[in-house]
Amino acid sequence: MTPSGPVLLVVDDEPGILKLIERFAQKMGFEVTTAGSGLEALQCLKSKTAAVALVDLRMPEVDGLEVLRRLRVADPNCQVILMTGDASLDSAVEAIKLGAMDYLSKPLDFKRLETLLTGVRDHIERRSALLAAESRMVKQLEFNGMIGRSPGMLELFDRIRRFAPHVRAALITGETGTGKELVAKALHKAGPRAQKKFATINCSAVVESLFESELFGHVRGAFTGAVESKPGMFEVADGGTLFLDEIGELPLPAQAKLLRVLETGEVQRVGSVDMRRVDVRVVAATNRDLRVECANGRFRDDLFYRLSVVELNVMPLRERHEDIPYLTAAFVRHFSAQFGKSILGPTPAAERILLTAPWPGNVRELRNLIERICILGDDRFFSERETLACLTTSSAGRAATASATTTTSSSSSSSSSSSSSTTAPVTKKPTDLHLLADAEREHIGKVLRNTAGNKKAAALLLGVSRRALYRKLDRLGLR
Amino acid sequence: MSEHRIFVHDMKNLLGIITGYSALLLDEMQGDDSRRPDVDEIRKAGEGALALLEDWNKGARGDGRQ
Repeated sequence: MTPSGPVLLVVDDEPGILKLIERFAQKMGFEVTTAGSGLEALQCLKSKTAAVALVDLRMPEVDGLEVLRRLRVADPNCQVILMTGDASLDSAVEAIKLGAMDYLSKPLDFKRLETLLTGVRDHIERRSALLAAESRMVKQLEFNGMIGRSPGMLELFDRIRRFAPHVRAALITGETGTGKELVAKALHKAGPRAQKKFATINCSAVVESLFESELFGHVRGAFTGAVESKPGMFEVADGGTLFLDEIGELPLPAQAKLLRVLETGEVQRVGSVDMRRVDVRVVAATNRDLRVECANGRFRDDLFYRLSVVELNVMPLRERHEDIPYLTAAFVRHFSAQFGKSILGPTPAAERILLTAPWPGNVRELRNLIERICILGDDRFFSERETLACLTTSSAGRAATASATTTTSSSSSSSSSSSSSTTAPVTKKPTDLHLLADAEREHIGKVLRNTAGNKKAAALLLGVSRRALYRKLDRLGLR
Repeated sequence: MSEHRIFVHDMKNLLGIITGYSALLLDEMQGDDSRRPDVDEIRKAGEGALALLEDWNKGARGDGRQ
């Protein structure tokens, strides 16, 4: 799985130095790429990412400081060490300001270089080991396809285990993307019907006039187009579990019939007079608040009470950050293998973004993000930049970029549920009450600060062309 | 960059290669390798030349010479 060794890029216009450092670093277990000029180095970095770069300061055309400057934008995770035979305080100060890891004078002190490279290598190894440990932990934390170690999830798993043997009907609530269907499947698999059928019907995807036929079946000639007799989902799931997803979308007449089936255990195909006995466990799920729906007359009270004998709520992802590293590890492992990559996981900075993003699309959104990252990425760790770039294309993007600049707050399960209260307690007004232009100005400003004012990189992150960004800057008075 | 500085820069690079490779060789040789003293001479000479270059460079700057 792991590539041979961390990549060291050496840039110097003196071939002898390149060879010497190559020999030295290979002995230390680095995979070495050499470039004879600043231009060549920048070319190299288009196809390859390096963990660390050793760059000569004085080179014709593109000098070391320029390589450093561009590297910081292109790949902030790449550590840069500058070296020069003609040390001056000015260039050293400039290099450190631009974010160089260190500044070595020539002839190189190999002991010092060894210390620096060992530091980089150890850091990578520690990170790899940590991510591998998280990946191993995933197996222990998994419960029927769900992963969690947060108190809320452990309680949910425990309740599923206890209810599964006995439950006849259950209601699963939770926001979109939290994994309600997985809970339903877990109830099925952990119960005595595990070997029987698990049938799903998505109530929001069925045409209103066909509900009855879908659920209970019909006989030939029951209505125009009913050329064959057809069993409904209740008959299909006989002996097993019927999962009714998005039950809140079920029209009222169908609700009444569903309730009847739940009470009598008998179904009647449309157009038939015969009753058929079915033995079906019904698990319903919704992201709506059915109590509100009942109060507004859109959902039948009696059906609600019937279903909610067992009610299982799945927490939104933002209320269980402690699970994010393990979910990430599981998705990275899955997609990395699927796409034939050797990606191990996020860098610490990328992980902070994952931990603080608001995740309106919950686990599904995290999964989709990791899939995108695994399609696009090649390096063993994915960076803050890759994460933000993939995140800005999703709904969580905007808020995530904003929260990425605030520090990570520890999770507190007792605090209120909104993510803004846990990540940015200072802001009182919700941002959606701002003028659009204000939000735009604030966001563009933040992205520009993240890219150290580099407009090309900012445009890339924002998903607009550079010209479009300039137009926006003019319009918002940011230039 | 003045010619003087280019000269010092290039000299340092070349001497760095001499001292660097001799250090690498010494590192890779067994402790009882009979060629060790020879390589050590190369390394010492390289380091001596670097020190000389450094002195000359300081002197050249101090004297205000080219």
